[in-house]
Amino acid sequence: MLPETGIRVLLADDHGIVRKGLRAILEGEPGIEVVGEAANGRETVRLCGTLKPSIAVIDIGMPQLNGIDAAAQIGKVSPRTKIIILSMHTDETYILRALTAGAKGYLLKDTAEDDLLPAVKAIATGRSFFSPAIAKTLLEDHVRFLRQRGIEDSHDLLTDREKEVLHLLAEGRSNKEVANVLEIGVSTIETHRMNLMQKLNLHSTAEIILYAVRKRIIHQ
Amino acid sequence: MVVAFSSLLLLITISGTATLVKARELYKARSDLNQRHRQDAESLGEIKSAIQVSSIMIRDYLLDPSLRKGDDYRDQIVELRRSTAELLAGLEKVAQPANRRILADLKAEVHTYWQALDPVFEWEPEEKQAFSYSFLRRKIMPRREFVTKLAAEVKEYTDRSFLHERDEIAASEQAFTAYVRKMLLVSLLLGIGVAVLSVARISNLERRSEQQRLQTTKAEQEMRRLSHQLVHGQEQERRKISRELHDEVGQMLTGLRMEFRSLQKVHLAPRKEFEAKLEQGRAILDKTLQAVRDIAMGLRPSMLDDLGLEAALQWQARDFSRRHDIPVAVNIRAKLADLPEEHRTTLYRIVQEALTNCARHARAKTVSISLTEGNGSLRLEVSDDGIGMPDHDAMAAGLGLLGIQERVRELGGHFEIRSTRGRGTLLVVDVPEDVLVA
Repeated sequence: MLPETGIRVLLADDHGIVRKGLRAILEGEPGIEVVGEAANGRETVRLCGTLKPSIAVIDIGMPQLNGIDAAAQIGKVSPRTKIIILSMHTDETYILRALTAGAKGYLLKDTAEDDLLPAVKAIATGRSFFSPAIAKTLLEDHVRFLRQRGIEDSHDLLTDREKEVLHLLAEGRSNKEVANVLEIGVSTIETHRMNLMQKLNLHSTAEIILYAVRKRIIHQ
Repeated sequence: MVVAFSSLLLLITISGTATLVKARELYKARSDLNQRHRQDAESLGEIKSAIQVSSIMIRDYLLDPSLRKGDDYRDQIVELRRSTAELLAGLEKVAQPANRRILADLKAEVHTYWQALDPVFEWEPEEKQAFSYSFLRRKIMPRREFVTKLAAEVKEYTDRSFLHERDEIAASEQAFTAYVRKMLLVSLLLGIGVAVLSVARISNLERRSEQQRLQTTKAEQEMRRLSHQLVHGQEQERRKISRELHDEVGQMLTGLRMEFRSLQKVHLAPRKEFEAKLEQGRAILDKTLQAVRDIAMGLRPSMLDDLGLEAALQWQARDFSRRHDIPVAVNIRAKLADLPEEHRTTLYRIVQEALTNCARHARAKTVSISLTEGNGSLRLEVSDDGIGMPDHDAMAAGLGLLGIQERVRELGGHFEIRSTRGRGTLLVVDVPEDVLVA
């Protein structure tokens, strides 16, 4: 039997064959248990509410309620459930939406067989996870964006302390946690956070994470 | 127009009637005058001849001794006297004021003449014999001459007044002619005016109806062309998908099949070789997956359903930028959460089509997409800084835009392309937000 601290995973995808594949990757892995499967968004939310899994792996394109909206609802019915979004899109719009909806991880279906296990493990320990291919696409898009508009990357404008704060925030830590790690006051973290957001033209935690993924400040 | 025509007709009717009345009056006046003059002349002639005849009778009576008391002659002369009195009265009745005096003189003279005759019939034959000659010579002849002369004078007077009256009639005839001429001129001018007006108006109407006919014809041709294109386009679309499925997916699956076959052969070979083959197969599989996704995305972008219009437009802009290396700015200032499916799809397709055109024809350096709301309608603008549309019609004929135009119309919206050569293209779509489409 699995220990009580085992990772309880819910799989949500409208295609049985995909669920079967995901289950095959996770099963037999010690410490991980697949506690349920859902075939649509509503079922996913409902099962999360009753099963309270530690991690929900959710496909974006599902009938009735798409994965991102389901993720947002799961945050209400089961706040401790951490969400990994499964998608075939590397576009930042999707990633940003997923992050805004509260997702901690974003996996590409193409590489899910390789990424799923590390992702589940990383997220179970409180970190975030993004398929390595995503960072590549995001960076390419970002570089193109800057080049097309003749803008310089402003990452170099950050102070070392701001870079540290950025890194820790991007890992999904709260201001307080960051303050604890760096052993400085929460209000100072608040100031650093505001400054770096202004310098990098970022407007939300989700954008900070996206930026960090793009810059490979956080990577698995 | 109607007023002009009716006034013209009224004028013609009135002037025609007036002319007829006037002409009849003039004719009557002239014939009256002629008749009166003839009567006057006749009456005078008769008076003259009565005087003449009576004087001859008197002479005969006086020179014929056999006649006693001359009853016959006397009766005849009385008769003559009576008829001259009647004639004189008739003349007096119709006489012009100017002629009254001379007529009165004549009457008096005639009276004197008849009175001079009276005593003769009382004479005895002897008296007759004794006085006749001297009487004739002294009394009758001069009186007769005088009456005749006077009658001639009266004739002259009446002639003169006749001429005078004739002149007057002629003058009024002339006035009448002038009047008729004037009326004719006015009618003619008015007629010309009305005619010019009518011709102008008719030609204007003709031109307009011709324009309308041309427009209708053009619209019909356009419709035929478009429906042909639609059918043709649908077929082309299917051909394209079919080719993509066959050429890309089919080829890759065939390749995969071959990989499997070779895997079968090498399954006893060294593990490294086997793994390499396996990796090749997986690479082909990845490509196949991507190809199928691209085809599916082209047919219906899943983010439109997953994330809504705003995200889909942003994705589209980035995807376009990725493929063509043209920066696309997206500026969305509208609440799109509750936008109906029909609107989402339409606006998305418009942007898709506009971007496709930018990539194909515009040679744009930058593209800008904006979506704003106001006054209960959504406004989508897609602009580029490319070469502009070479030909408005050619562009409008583009199948994609045609379909979009139709969609926008169905949503009760408005679709417009503003393009200047060398100054880029601006596509503006206004769609009412509240859906009244059944």
